[in-house]
Amino acid sequence: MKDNYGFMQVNVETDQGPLSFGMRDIYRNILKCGGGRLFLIDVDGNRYEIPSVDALDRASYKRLELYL
Amino acid sequence: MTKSESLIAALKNRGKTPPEDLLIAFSYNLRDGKRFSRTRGIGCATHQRLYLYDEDGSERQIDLTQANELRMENLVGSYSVVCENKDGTVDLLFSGDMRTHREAAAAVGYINSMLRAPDLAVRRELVAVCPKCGRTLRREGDVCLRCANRVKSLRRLWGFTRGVRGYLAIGVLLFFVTSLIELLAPYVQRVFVDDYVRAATPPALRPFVLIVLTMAGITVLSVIVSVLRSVFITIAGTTVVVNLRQLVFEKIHALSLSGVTKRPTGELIGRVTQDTNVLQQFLVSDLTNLAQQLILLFGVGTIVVFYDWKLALLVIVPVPFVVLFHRLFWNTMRRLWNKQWTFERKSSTILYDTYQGVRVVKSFGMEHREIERYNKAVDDQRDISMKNEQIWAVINPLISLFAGLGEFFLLYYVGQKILDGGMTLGEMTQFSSYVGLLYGPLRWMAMIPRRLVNALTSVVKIFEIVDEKSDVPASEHPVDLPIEGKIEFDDVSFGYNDGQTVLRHVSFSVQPGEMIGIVGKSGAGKSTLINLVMRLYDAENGTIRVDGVNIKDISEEHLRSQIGVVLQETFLFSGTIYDNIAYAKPTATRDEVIRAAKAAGAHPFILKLTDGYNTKVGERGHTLSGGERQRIAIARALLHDPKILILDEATASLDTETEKQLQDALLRLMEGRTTIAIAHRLSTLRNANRLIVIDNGTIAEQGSHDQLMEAGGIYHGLVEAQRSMNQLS
Ligand SMILES: Nc1ncnc2c1ncn2[C@@H]1O[C@H](COP(=O)(O)OP(=O)(O)OP(=O)(O)O)[C@@H](O)[C@H]1O
Ligand SMILES: [Mg+2]
Repeated sequence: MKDNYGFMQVNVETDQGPLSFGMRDIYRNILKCGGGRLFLIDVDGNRYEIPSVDALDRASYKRLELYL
Repeated sequence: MTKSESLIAALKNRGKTPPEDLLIAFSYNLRDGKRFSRTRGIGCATHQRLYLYDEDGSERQIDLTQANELRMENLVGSYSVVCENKDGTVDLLFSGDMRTHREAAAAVGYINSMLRAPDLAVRRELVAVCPKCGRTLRREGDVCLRCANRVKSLRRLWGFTRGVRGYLAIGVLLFFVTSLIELLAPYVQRVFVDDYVRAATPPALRPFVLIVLTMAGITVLSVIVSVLRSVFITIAGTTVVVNLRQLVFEKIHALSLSGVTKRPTGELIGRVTQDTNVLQQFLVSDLTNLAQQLILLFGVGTIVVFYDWKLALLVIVPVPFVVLFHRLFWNTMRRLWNKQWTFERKSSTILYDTYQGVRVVKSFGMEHREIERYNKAVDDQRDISMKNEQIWAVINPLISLFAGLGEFFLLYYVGQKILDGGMTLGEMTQFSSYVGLLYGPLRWMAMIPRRLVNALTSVVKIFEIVDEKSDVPASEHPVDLPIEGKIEFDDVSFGYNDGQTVLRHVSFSVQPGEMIGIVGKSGAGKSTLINLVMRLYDAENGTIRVDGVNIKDISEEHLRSQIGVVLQETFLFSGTIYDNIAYAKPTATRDEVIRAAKAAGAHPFILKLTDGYNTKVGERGHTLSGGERQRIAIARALLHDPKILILDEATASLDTETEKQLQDALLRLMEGRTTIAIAHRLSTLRNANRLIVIDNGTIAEQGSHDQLMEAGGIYHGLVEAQRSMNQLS
């Protein structure tokens, strides 16, 4: 995750392979669904699901935590 | 490099030869419905053919001469494009997710227009890309937030300080004076210590008093200067922000409706208030503070270096560590405070929710659960803030210790010098004051990057709005047309978003003074139709004419000033009933307002209210019933004395009895006006000269009530359905 003046480039590992996408207004574009389930919404409106934040490795969680 | 050039290059890389005479090129993904693969499918269209090069290397050709129309099916987070062939079959062409949605939608639109008018099709770019990073932009002329030139934006921001630069200059000058005073103070202190406190012979009283007075004077002076300084800087800052705020507000109103509605309300409000506030903070306090701190830094730095460079070195060596430590520390604290803030917000949300929804809570007997929920939230909040306080209590002294570490070295060095007789006590006092002064700006500057980033982001966000071009561009020579009331739709197609079609090939005309009723299922496109008449949106295809003039050529204000509307969602501004009715015509006399209210059937119930016409309607008018609100909205539209009256479900919340009375009153008023009325309750439209039935975005039937009943189509079905409903009740 790289914060570039409100535009965030996010690099993730998904079950469909690695991916990089951009997010803006990051606080508003993270949907929390309870139970640690998250959705990230990128600039184009795609939704990426994180089924459980607790399952993330520590380094990733730390990075994400700032925006929760 | 334009988008199509880069796509063609990509194709050649894959060993494909795209057609020479291609008109458009676009990309899509998700061909196999899965995998975020890096390669994308690429499509190219010529006059006759559509070439699709899939991600897996296969290649397909679609004969467009056999195609009737391409259609885009919008799904959640993805889309697919199908081709309707002339023989009635439908083929799936390709699909993708939202990353390629924009270009695919543009491609579908382009190909469809080409199918209709092949001769007009010329080579074109479908989407604009950021010239720097190659990402697709939302629209031509948008700034790419990733690459926006922030320095340029800052320079533009500087442009807004015109008129207050004098104040700013005075402010900076005063900063200079403050710094000088701060530099002077330690010097006087030294003189005081060396010549008086530690003087070998007891000093004479007069010079002693003088020096004390000087010290007092310096303090007073610095207070006066700093007060003056904040006055000037505040004047400058607020002026700039007010200018910016007015500009943004004006700009938001100049945007077309879609420019406003496509952004969440909160975001727009944020841009008017928060972002301008951030800028004020930046321009007023940060920037000027920076100036002062820099002056101080250089001033002290020079003095220290000239005084004793070895000493200076000792002071400077620990500086990078201090700065580094400081940043590390702030990052950790920010994380912790962020968490605390989230928890605080959580508990206040619960509070807000339960009070707002107290009826629901009570009627479901959930008080206990809410109390538990709140208790837990508050407990969590207490735990985290306790933890934070503890950490803070430990870290804070630590950081001072680290920051002061350099001073210990210094003390050691200086102490030795004093013992050697190379330095006096006063000199030491002076020196350690300077060192203290030096660390202040350094610590402050460690914070600067974060603030700069915030300010720059706000600058870009504000200018994004300011620079946005309207979707309904004003014509070159708009005419002021006194309207008679003839409305024509000529083959109009429209969708709110790319690739969506809400209205398809709609054509009809309304004569001056005629009353047209529009019926159709919910979501058929009725409200959309009238949005187009008011030119809240522009139709992509086809023309809409009023009195034979294309509405794009009529000045917007003039057009809307002659149309009176009662919208489906009646909106009242917070204010009195009188203000709400007079909204469209602030110059109206009291008589006119009351006459309009009477015509709208609102007069009787208004008189029953405690304050009559001066009753406050509360936020969004929630103190009134739905039907009362509608009647006020009708009065508002009538006061306008419009040539064209549009009623979108204007009487839906009224009981049939009241509605009938109101209709009779309205009928008199509708004389000489063109009226378009939308209603689900068909009895509302019994006065209509003609009815238009909209089904799925097209005109399914039109004619008078009797004609349509005879035809036995959709309208007949609707009437029958309502009749049987009425019998049941
Ligand atoms: N601002 C908008 N942005 C995107 N889509 C919209 C917007 N407004 C309406 N639509 C869509 O356009 C279609 C037609 O909407 P419209 O408001 O014209 O329906 P309607 O015939 O007035 O329905 P109702 O009888 O319920 O008022 C609907 O499918 C709706 O979802
Ligand atoms: Mg509607």
